[in-house]
Amino acid sequence: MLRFQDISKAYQKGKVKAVDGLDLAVKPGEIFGFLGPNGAGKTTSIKMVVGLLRQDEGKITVNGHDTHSEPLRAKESIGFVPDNPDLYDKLTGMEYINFIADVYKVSSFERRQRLERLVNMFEISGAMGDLIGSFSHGMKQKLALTAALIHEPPLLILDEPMVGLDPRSAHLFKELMNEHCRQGRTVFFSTHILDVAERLCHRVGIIKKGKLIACGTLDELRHQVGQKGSLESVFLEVTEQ
Amino acid sequence: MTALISLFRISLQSYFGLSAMRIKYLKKKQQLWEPFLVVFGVIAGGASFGSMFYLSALQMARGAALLGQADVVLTMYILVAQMLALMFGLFAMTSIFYFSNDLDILVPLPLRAWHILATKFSLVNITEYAPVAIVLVPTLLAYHRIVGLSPVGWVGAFVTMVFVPIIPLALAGILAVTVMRGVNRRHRDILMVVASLVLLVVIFYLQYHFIADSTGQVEAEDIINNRIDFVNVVGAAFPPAVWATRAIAAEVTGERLTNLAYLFFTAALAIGAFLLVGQKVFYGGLVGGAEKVRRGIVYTTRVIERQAVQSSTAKALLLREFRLFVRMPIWLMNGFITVILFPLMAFFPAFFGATGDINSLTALARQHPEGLAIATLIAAGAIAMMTSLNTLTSTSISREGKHLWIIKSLPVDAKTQVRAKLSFALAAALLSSLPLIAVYAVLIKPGGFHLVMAFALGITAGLTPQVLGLWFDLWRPFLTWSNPQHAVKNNLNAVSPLIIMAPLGYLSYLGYMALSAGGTTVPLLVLLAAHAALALAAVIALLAKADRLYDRLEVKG
Repeated sequence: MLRFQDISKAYQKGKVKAVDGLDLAVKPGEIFGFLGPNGAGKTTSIKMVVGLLRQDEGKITVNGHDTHSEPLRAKESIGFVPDNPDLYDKLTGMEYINFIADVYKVSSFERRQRLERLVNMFEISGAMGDLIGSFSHGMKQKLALTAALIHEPPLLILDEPMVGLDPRSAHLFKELMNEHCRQGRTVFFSTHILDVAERLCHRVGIIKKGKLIACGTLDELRHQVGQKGSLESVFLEVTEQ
Repeated sequence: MTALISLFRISLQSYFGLSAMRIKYLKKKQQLWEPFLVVFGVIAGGASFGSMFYLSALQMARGAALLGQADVVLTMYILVAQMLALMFGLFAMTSIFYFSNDLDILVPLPLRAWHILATKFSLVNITEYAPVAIVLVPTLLAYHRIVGLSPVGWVGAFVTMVFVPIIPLALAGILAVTVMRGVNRRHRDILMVVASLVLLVVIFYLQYHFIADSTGQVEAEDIINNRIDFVNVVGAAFPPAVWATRAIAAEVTGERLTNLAYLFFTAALAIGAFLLVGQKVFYGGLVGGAEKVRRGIVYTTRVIERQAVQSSTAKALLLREFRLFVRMPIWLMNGFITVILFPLMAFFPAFFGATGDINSLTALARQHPEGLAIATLIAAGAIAMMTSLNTLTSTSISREGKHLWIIKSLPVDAKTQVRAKLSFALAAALLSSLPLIAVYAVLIKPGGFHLVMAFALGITAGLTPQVLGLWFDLWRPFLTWSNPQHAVKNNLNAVSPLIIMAPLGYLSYLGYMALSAGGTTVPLLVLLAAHAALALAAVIALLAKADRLYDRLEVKG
């Protein structure tokens, strides 16, 4: 579903390597956790997938479409929620969702069905007519996720989705990821919250200084580092090496 | 006081991006050509407007000098500069006081309201010196050419210029904090637009009433006998303009210094009044603005069924452009409303009884085919100029700011997005040309052919600069603005259409003159065809490059 092939990205004329030879494949129906310390290259990798940054080297494919040569086909397969969902303050929630649904060519019938389910699930039905500028951070996250799911994308990409969410909203997000996965679709998300990754992900990848240093199921990672502890201890062991 | 100085220093660095520039150009030595481009842009833009002010001031000074009253040209243009400061100051003040990103950092600090207000006032005041200089430096040069200014006179003139925007800005500040305190969050945006419109109408009414009306009542005999002091007549609307004139042009040094002192104390008083009012109401207005407003509509199945309706991608993009622009009062006022209002207000007399000058102008234009063609060219030029002024395309990408990630991650090709932006700009240009066409129709009363020509030529001539403005903004967008006003007013891309418009206008004039020997109809048609072809070529070229330009835009951070 998502394939990074030897991806590299550098800033400041090549002086700072943000991502260095990343090679990774995420399978359909999988929840994949992308972990790493601050500044490891998680957000840069995600931004390259969704077209916000260009890779210097390598190839990224989404649902079989090269993000460079077929960017629109690749984007059609993605639903994306960034780490800080800066949405248009001067649009209402409904106007924003309608805009996104129009751009993804979601029919009136489908958008009504999906919207009703999502706004009720996220408990934002009372705020959809308000300007987004009046939303709390959590509500913006929920609206961004609603927009990302309105076209039922095969690949859902979330950058630090749990940051700033209250426990109930965080629970809803996890439920939704599971549900998305149960429908045969894929979730790729970055996080610092290792407990969430441990409980939710089928596989995790750990990135450090732009390089993928570990990847697999929790058992495979434990085996790699010769530890029997939690993901946290595995993570610390791997990233401190 | 240490806190105030520290706040001013950090705000200065942040607002004008001094630290970022120092690191980029001096430390890392990256893109060193940028400052040169900026300087060129400022010179080219300033020169376009400056030459306009110089020529008109020179004409006026020549006429007034015959009556021994050349000083009146200073009063007139000081008033113009002060009106501009008042008008743009209101938008700038409201934006920087209530919509800046740094307020969340500043308000929790142990600072008094007046500390923040004084700092932000200073920043706006610094930016206002640019338009003031564009109006007054050419005026002073024209005045110097007719009357002569000594070196001491020039020093006095520049000291006086320092005070010119302060008083109107303080008034704008008082108005901004009072309006924002008095309106609640729900109606804030619309009230801001309404208050600004009222202010504009008042300004132009005063201009008309005090300048046009007062001079109209002056008896010829009084003028001949030099019993009328034009400086006082013209400056009656706003006495600081008279003091500024006397501070520059009075013959006796003592009188110059006295008027400078008037200016100084009035400016100090105005700032004091602004800070006093601000200290009382600023935080109240700010807190009121931060309160969340809920409309209370629950999206039940019925409401969703009614509102969740599919439309085309093109329509969705166009609607997004429109909504985001008109719902940001600062952009609407800066970029559009003034463009519509300027021509209307500038030609107030045409709607409230034409004066002798305008009557003779009309007669001249209607009696001679060349006159009518020239009037058509002037009307078209004015439409093109106003279209170039509206900043719609030239800040279109910059205005996306931190929301750029949305349009970049959409599965919509760059061409479609560019088409939506151009369609919106074209629709706005058509709308904003209507008042000018109305003025042209009322003043000159041309036939259908010339009316259509003025409209079509103006729109097509204005299109090329708009397209190239969007191109420039795609190439180098200013995305890291700290408040919406910043995105438009502190964005040099905004003037790129004007810079393009100036040589285009001049070439059009030369083209017309070269062709006019064989009549007036053919040259106008040739010009229209040439501008249409140029605009079409610009659109095709931009669309061809759109994908590449969009691809270059990276969302870092």
